[in-house]
Amino acid sequence: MTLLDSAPAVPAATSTSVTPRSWLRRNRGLLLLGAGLVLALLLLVLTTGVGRSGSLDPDSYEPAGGRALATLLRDQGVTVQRTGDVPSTVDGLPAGATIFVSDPSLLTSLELSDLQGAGAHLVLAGAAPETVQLLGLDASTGGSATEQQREPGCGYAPAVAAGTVQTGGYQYGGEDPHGQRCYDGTLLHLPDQDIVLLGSGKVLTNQRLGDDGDAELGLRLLGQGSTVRWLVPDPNRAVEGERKATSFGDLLPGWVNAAENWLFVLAVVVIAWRGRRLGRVVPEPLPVVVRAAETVEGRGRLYRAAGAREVAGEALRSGARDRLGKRLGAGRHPTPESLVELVARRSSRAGADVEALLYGPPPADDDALVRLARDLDALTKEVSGS
Amino acid sequence: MAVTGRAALLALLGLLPVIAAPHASTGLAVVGVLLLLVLTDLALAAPVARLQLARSGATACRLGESVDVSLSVVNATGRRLRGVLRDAWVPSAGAGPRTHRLDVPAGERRLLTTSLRPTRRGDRSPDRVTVRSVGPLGVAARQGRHEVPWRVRVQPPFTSRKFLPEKLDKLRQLDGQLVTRTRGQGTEFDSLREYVVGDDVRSIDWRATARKADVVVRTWRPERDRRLLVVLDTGRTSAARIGDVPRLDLALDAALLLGALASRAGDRVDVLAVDREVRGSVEGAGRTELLARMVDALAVLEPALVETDSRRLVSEVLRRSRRRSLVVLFTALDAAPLREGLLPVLSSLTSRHTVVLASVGDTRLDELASGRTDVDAVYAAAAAEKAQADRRGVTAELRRRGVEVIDAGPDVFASHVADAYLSLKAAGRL
Repeated sequence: MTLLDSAPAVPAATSTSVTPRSWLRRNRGLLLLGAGLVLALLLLVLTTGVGRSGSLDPDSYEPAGGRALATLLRDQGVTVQRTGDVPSTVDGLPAGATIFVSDPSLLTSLELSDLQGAGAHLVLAGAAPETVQLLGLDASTGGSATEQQREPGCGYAPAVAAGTVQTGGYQYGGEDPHGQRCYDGTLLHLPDQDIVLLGSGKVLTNQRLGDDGDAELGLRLLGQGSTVRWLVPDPNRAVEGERKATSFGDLLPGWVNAAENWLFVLAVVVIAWRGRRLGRVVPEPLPVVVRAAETVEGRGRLYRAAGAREVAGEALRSGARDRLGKRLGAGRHPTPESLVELVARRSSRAGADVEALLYGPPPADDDALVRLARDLDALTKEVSGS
Repeated sequence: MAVTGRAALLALLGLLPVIAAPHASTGLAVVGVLLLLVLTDLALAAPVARLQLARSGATACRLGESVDVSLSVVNATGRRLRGVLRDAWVPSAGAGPRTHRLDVPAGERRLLTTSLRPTRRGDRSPDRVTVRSVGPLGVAARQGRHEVPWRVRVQPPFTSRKFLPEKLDKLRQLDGQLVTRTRGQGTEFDSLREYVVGDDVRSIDWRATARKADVVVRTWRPERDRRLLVVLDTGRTSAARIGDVPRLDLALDAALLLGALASRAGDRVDVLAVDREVRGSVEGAGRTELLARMVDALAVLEPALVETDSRRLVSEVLRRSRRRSLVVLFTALDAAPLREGLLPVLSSLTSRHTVVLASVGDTRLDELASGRTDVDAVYAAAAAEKAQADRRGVTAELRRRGVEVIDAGPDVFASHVADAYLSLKAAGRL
């Protein structure tokens, strides 16, 4: 480095750095596309609302969801409250309320008895045999029935009002004299406990609600009171009577977790430090070069692959003849006879041998070809050496 | 922008408060402090875009030699510039050092020297200049790039220059030999001088003798101001590598020796490089500037992967040389391309000019032809014999049409080409 005190003339600007403005200009298309996508997504969300997914969830718009039924209930002036666990479901329950459980198999026996003790009209969709047993109901569970159109076949008012409905799922029986088996047992009403068992919740889904009397059935089953507590058991809910397992992390002192998180920050800084290149990689415009003898080697391999002993033998022979002819001054195009005679005289070999070597039949196999090549070499050496 | 190792160190030190008070707010506070430091440093670093960069230094270099190119950095900003600069060149330019440390006070200039040791012939040029300007805290840096174009023409090494003294010696012998000779082929009238004993009486110029008191003889010298046209075929056959060097480079080397020799001998030399189109040419160069112009024009030639257009080649030659010339054509002695390309149009060339066809022979062929180790080697040997027979065939055909053919190995190729020129000159066939 040299320090020069004389300032040079101002040179033309050479900077090609990306300025924010040029970056914006260059990526205008992509940016516009991204903005359009975000706008479209926003519009979609705003017009359709944010739903949850999950079967028979009152907030789910999916075919298997329960949004349609919940909306119908609300339209009838029924308050629908979605809950995730049992305590919030039974807490402050107004008289005459209905509790609907979308998937009772997720509940423990304690929770089930809590629900039973709440004193509400209880509707369980798709209660499995184990659940029925846990509930201590006087009901037996048969096999499961295929989904098909069924007549009510009982005197239970909602079923009678709904008429023919496509049902399926578990089939319930029972010795309870007051129990009402409807739809071939896929719906069982136990008036003593005020419980309705539904073989499968499918009948109440968004997809099916428009069919037959499904909506009627749903409204009448759930809309008896002024309030419906719609329990969609949350798999992560705190369950009473279960002790939360201590994880490895709980046993470590508090700062370890903090330090661990900080290491991520450190990693980001180190990546930013080491990952930034000082200028791009410069490629070399390479010329194309081919080895000159490559075609010859390739042809040799072709000869070998095709077993072209005739051509190969003749090539070797003509090469040797050419060398011998030149060596012995036989002229540009000697006749076979004159060349053989010259070579025989010079090499003290029999004329017939020389002729067989120089003008003989093509070698019979690869070994013969190798032998021919070596013999020709020996002959050439003999003639040149003498 | 970029962060430095110091920022990483600070982030590591940030671990202490985080451990001392393990709470999310501590972490956020430390991140905030770090960010503040980085942003302050970025704001205070000298802006890269406002630097003024300019290059100076060598524009040409012989392959294998090393030259320096300087980059002047003027800090036209109001802040001190500290950091690193990378002056990136293509890899074959052999540029070093990779990065330069920078410390330029505001308003001053520094000269950074990058030394180049090119590994390939042709034009080598720089890529971007990247400057990383570190802030006063040394935590973060602004990074930007400049494009400062330059070009260093890397000339062929002219390794065959070692033959030049020997060939010039031969040329001088030729000169001397012909001065004492009388009128003959390949000579022209030089001057009149007084007769000394031993001179051929037949060279006495009687008319001049009559005007002067003394007996005067005419002296002769080798023909001068003959025309020589060096034609380089840059088509696909010139891309073939003989040993480690492409055929074209060997031809360039021989062409340079020929040019140097012919210009010393007083002949006019033109150069033409052609495949499907004219890739380079030197026309009407004076004796002193010929070699420099040849080197400059030939330095950038690259083999093109196309079949040479022989008609184009011949018509270009005919267009350039109205007078009878010696045409030295550097191409490959490959039977198929010659038979299909050059041979059909050769007669229009040989009828007007003396033609020499020079081709670098491949030593690998001889190696292959003597292979006897196993069956594969023998088959390869047969293929090599066939290739050589083809070469001999096409050579014979060319000679029959009056073309001089030079087929020599890479190490003696240039020497043989020069010898052919000298012997043609001696024979007065130029």
